[in-house]
Amino acid sequence: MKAAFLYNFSQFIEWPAGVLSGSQSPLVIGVLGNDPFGGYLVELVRGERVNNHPLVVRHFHQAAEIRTCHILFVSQSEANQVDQILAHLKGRNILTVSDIDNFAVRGGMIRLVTENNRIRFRINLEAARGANLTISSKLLRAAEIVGSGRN
Amino acid sequence: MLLKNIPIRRKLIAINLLTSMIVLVLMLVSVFTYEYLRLRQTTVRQLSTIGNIIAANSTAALAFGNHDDAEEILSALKGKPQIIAAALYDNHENLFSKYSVNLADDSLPVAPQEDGFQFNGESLSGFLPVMEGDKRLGTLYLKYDMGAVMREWLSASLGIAGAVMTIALLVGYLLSRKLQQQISQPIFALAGTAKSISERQDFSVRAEKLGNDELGLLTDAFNQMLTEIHKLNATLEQRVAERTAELGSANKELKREVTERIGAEKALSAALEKERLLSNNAIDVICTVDADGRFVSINPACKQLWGYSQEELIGRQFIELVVPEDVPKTNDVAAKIMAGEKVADFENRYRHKNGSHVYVMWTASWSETQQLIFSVARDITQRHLVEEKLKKSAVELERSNSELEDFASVASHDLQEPLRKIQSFADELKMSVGNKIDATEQDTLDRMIAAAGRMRTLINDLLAFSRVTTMARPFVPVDLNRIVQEVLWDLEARTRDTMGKIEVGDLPTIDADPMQMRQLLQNLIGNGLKFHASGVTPIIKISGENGGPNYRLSVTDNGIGFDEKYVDRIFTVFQRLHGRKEYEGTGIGLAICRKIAERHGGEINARSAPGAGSTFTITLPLKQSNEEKP
Repeated sequence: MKAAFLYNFSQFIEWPAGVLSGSQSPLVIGVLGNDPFGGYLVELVRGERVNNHPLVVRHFHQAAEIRTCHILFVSQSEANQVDQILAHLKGRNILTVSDIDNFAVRGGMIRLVTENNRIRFRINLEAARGANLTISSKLLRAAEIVGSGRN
Repeated sequence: MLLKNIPIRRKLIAINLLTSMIVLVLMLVSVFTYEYLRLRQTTVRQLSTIGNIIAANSTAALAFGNHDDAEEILSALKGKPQIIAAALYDNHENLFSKYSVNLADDSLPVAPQEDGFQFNGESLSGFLPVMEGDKRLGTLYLKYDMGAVMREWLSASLGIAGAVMTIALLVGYLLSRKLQQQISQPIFALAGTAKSISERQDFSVRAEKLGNDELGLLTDAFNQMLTEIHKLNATLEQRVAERTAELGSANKELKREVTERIGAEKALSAALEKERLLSNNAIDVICTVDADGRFVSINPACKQLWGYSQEELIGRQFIELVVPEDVPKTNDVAAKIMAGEKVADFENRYRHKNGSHVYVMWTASWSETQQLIFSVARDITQRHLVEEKLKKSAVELERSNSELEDFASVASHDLQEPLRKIQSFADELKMSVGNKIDATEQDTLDRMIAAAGRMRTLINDLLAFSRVTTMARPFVPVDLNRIVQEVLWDLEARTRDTMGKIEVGDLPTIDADPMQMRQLLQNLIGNGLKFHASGVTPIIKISGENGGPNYRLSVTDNGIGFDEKYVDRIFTVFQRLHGRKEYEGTGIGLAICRKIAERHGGEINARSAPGAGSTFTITLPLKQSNEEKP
């Protein structure tokens, strides 16, 4: 379910000019840490394109490994190193998504929350702006907006 | 529809308004049809726009399965009450979220259908794709209630149409009421003129011309027609008047004729009475004879004339009464009469009942209309007997006359010879005796010689007198001027002796015996020279003048003249008015003149008074037929 969210996010985010400049350059969805989706995410995005960009899934173990990445899912396994990871990615045009508690408050961009058996998300707009990403208002409609430092 | 009976003015208005209405209704229908279609199109577009917005807004809700969000988005449709239902279906065609106004849930389609809008009764419904980028996330269903919109539109349209129609009708009515005058006014003028003419019979009225269009032409034609009618009327009236006058005069004429006829009938019966009385009292026979020659009517005089009564004669052939010798000529004359010739003085003989012959003179004519001969017969037996006697004595007279003439001629001739001998012997005797005899004997001898000379003259004159008829020559053209000239030459010596003057006028050429003309003139001029008073110079004028077919030749002298009571005597042989001692002559000269004049078919007359001269006038025909009478 969350895998589908990752995929769907790609449709509502606008990356700055220069990123994804080539028409055929792939939109990379990265997974940092243990992959909770199993092979599902890879299956989901296979053959899919967003704005003509083919979708590619990559797995990272450390933040330092990340080269080309557009959407990065930070797994629960990395909960202790969130601040470091975010600090490392600061300034890069990467949408950070995670289901780790207080991820958005801590400077992550989107935190996925499961409420009443439904997945909701909270978005930290400052963080997204800091990464020069534009989030579609439509996405914002469906989300809960949070600021840094708050719950 | 009694459209044809209403006045033109209203007709024109009605036509205009009807036309305007039809045009307007057609226009409104097309406008509203267009509007209706546009409304539907607009509605579809609006709905599609709204749908697209909703769809665009719903992408995230669908993408992230956010039902609340979806419902919230759909509930925004409350602002558009016409949208009565909406639903979102996910890309697995499951109903994701729905929105409805007063609508049962099961009225929503269970699954999305093909994209696009369609009208269904008063509602418009359609399916729109929910896309994010080029990825389809689901389907939006919308249902739009057209009913309210349509009603609203319809009432607005009808209101506008009503207003437009009302204004158009009003304006159209006012305009056409004003403009129809252009057409109706000349027609009214014409109709008014025509009506006033028919009411008042006044053809001098003229319709006013208000323009140069067809109505103007019509007015002109109408006026022209009126002029014609006016003229015709005048002519007709005049002819009626003339005819009336004619009839009046004809009537008068007829009355006059009737009066005349009555008068004529009276006159006719009077005339018939008169005719009957006259006919009964007439001495002459008055009768009618039919084409077969039978007596049809006859008066009582027939009894006197022929011895037969009227009853005996009517129906009988008249020719039976005619003496047989006279039948052929009588038949000839009858044929002429029946050919139309009027015959008068036809004479024939009839047998009297007693057997004697009756001489009858007829006057007769043929009446073509009655096919009858009308004739009058007169008894001329007595006259005829007298005439017969007269004829006999005339023949006797002629014979004795000619015997006398012959005798005179012969006697004169035969007397000349012994006379000549007596004269010559007497002359010889006088020569031989000379002075041997005494004065008395001398005187006796001279008297004897003179008597012989006178006798010779007498004989010559008698000869000349008898020769007028016995030695007559045929008539030829004679120039009287030449004859007079010859006579003057012959009388030259005597003229000179008497110192006489003879004036001759211009004379014509006539048919005559030249010798006799010469003798006539010689005698007359000679008389003029002879019978003049002593001491008076004779003046003789010869002149003449035309008088129709005759010429009057006058010989005038200034001589002694004579008493006109002796005028018959001077033209008789041997009659003398004067003694032989005073004037020489035998008394035969003027008798010869009369005889010559009579032989030429003319006459001689004399006018005179004693001492006042004489004028002898001889009237002679200018032309002679040369058929000399004996």
